[in-house]
Amino acid sequence: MHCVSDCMRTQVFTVNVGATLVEAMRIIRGHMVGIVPVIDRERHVAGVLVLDDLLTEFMPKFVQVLRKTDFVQDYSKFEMGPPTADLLDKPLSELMRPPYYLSETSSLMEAMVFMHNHQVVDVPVIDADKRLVGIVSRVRVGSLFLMDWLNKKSEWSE
Amino acid sequence: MTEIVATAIFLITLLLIFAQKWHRMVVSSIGAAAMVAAGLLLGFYDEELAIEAVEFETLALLLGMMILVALLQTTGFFESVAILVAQRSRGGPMRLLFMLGLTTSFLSMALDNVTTVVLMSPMTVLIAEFLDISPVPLLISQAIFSNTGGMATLVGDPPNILLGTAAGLSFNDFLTHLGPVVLVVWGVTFFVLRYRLRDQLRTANPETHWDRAIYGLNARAALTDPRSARRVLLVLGGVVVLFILERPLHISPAFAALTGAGVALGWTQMGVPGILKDVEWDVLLFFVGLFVMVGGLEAAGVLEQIAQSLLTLQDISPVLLGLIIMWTMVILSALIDNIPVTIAVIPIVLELSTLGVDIQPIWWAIALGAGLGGNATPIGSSANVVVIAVSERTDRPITDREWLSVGIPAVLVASLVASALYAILHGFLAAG
Repeated sequence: MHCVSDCMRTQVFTVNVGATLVEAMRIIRGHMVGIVPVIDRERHVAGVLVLDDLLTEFMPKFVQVLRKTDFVQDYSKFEMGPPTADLLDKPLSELMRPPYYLSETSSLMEAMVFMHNHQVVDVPVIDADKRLVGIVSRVRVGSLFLMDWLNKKSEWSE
Repeated sequence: MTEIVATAIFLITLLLIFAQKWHRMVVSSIGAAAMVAAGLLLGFYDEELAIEAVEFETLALLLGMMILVALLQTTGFFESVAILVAQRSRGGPMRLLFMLGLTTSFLSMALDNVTTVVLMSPMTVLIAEFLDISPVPLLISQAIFSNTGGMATLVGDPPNILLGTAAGLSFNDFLTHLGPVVLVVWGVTFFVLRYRLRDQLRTANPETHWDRAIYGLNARAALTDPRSARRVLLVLGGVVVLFILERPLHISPAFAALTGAGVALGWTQMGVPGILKDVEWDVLLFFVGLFVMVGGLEAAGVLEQIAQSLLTLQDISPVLLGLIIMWTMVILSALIDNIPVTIAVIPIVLELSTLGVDIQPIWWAIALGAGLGGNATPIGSSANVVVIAVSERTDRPITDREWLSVGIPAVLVASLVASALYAILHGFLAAG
């Protein structure tokens, strides 16, 4: 039976506690990642900066209060303006989520349920000492799970 | 002894509602339980009396209207109306204040205030953002206009529903007696808001002319279910006709509203569990708790004593008595919440009537006082609480200071005008 460590990415791009928001933005841009774990000296996860949360900061505020926005058909007013000082000055701790993670020994089903319930697509992975060792994505977990299932299916049909 | 215990339970509950630390429904439920327990221990109140104290007609009327609004809100009707209003205002902030205010008041006359602002205030945030103006003045005005419009009808404001059911005042009574007063008060309130908010309503960058941006909103696309919207509006119209014909047809407003809710649920075929989820059960349960508590006060003889002591005021002119009651309601509604205050005052006034006082004009004084007072403070009415909660989800939360700087002058001026009208129209208001 596969587990999370079988499909996690071990090359993790992180920032240290106390880094600036711009540093985290550069990591996202440079490595095309969806989350940046914020870690302390012992590589314990102190928080997670999620790209979606960051992008929400750039969106108009009505997006936060309206359930549907399909009737807005022209966003040109809100397209890129000058960088807002408010956002750049925000400390990373204000935008990051509280730490969340899966253990490297977690099963694929546990990972799938975790991602579904917490509405996240990338999750940091920790070892037995709670140190960050990788990141697992929904696509990787899903692909491995489907592979296992298809293999079992062919065994059954034989 | 019983009077002291019952009064203490009620006052502590009011204090806790004022403190806003716990949800007001939880506070009123615990208060109700405490009142029944005290009544059982001291022998002045029991479960049967508590159930008798609950005004089921009021609850049924509220429930019926809440179901109708819940049906309408899923159709995108409110979003569509807000877009059309914004486009008609051609992006002018003052025109927008007037038109959005008028629309909100009009909707609040037929629909629950809270739902009206729950649905209209997010759209206000959107419109303000498109026009590069602060949403704060528009949001504060929206709650104030919603409360003001609601004063004109039986179903517009929760205190009116309470008064109408208790005093047997019909939809027409409210419209003919309070309608003209509300019209004048609305105009005065608009000018106060316009004056107080003129600086905040200026566009940040007038040279950018973002007022054209609101034409990028598609009102037709916002109305996601036009067929159901048409059906619910037709049923709502039918319910209002039944309200108007309440006396000749010998039906209660509660019957009209619940019938409408049933017909609309059947006709639109929308999922019942989803619709019932949007009903404000917390408000209904808040009412139940308060009814039970006030029933305890009545059983303990507290309300009769208050009514007796009010009789000492009998020597003063009926107009002055009405004005004293109106201003007391204004102050209490601003400080606490106009619903518990109205629920507590109703039995006192009914008691006054058995003591020979003409209470007909007093009902209108209470309705005006409860409606106007709620505008003064952030916690004065449920609509205020809602717009503040919406603003807190943006980067411009409304502060208490901002609210008070607009609410207090608006309420003072509106109450003075309402007092003058009350004095002038006293004969007409007393005629019933």
